[in-house]
Amino acid sequence: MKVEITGPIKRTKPFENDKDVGDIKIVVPGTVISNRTDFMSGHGTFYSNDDIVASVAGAVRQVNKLLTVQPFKSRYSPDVGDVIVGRVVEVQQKRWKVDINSISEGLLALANVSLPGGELRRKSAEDEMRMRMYMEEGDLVVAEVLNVQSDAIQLQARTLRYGKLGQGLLVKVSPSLMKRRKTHFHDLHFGAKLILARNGWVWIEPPSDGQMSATGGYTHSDEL
Amino acid sequence: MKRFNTYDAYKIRYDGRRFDQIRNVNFKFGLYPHADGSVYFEQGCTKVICAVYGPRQSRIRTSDDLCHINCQFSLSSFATQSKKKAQRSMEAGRLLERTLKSVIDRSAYPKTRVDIFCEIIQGDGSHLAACINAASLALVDAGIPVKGVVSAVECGVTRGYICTDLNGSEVRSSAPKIVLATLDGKRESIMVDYKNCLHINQMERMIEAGFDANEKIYACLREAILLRTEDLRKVVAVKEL
Repeated sequence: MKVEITGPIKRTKPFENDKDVGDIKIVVPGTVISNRTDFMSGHGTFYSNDDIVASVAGAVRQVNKLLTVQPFKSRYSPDVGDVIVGRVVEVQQKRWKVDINSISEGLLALANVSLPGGELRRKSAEDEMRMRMYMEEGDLVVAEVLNVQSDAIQLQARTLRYGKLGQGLLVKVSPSLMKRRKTHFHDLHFGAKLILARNGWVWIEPPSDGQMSATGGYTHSDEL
Repeated sequence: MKRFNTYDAYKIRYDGRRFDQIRNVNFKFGLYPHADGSVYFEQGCTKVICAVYGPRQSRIRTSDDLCHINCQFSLSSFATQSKKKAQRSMEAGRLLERTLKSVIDRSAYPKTRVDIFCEIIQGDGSHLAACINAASLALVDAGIPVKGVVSAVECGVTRGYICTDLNGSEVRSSAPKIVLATLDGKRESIMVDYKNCLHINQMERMIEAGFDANEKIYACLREAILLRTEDLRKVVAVKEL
């Protein structure tokens, strides 16, 4: 698809404030959305003297007095309760650092993980030493977002459905395509399992032979 | 063989443009699907590819824990008529970095980094200006909050006349030229890179010409962003609040 523009084209008046497509107002960074006195600026906007100006290109959303601009394509920004699939990048003292294709890495604390075998018990010092035996760098894990702070995203994998992933296939798509739904775990009719994570990573697992429920989500592969 | 001077005779340049006319702008977004933002940008025959990665986790800590901006500006070995090794210009990379640092909202994402890579695959003048324009588009494509859309243009004196958006044959190493970058097409500069000697009386006229040309380039970039946003809207789920 080739689009050619020679200078400003006729259909947009220069410096027109915004573009209305149906009922959604689409803005370009730098356009003034509103006056400061009427609204508060949320994500995607900033104050400039007396105006609220958009800082990303997207749709203007208004909730009561809060104005936000939602970009259609951006890095995944986690919400509390999102199901995500991540890859372990570092094993630290009492937690794992997980790459979840977001602005900062996710932190999965040892206390927030259910150990293999399905038991939920207080983690001892020995468990700390054995962290690497459960998950190490390069492993894939499915978890839920527990808390989002400015510089840290805390994850938890306490229930049986979360935890380290075994053999399967990972497909990466854009996070903006993943809508939030009631459940992100799906069982396909021919036996395969599907996890549609909110960070854009899709996990496809081959049909198992009944091992999953017995070990509580922990799988061990003998292949190197 | 002496070239016929169209500048004096018809007040047009050798490529047929008027002195204040900019070149055709062409663009295509989404060249690198795995990059957060990417754009292929043409300004006449100058072709630039820009890819932006970020904001993502950074090991480098800046003062005040702001977002770390890393810019790379490189000219391919096949880009110009003279056969050269692939060059990575530190000076142009620095200028690009300083321009974008003043535009990106660095406090929004502390302890992260944004990497911007610009590669000129065909050079025909206005290299730095084209890279700034491309980087500006790529940043908006990546959804990184910015203060506005940056546009840049290179102006210089050719055969005694002030010309905007110089092409390869008009860019001479000894001729005075400026690269002027503005925000949202307003008449305030956010970066000026000035080379060689110019009479003080000419300077104001050159900057005025730069502002005028920037308004035109800004209109092109703005239209590009609107078209891209409309395309994305058709594909992406708009979050219901």
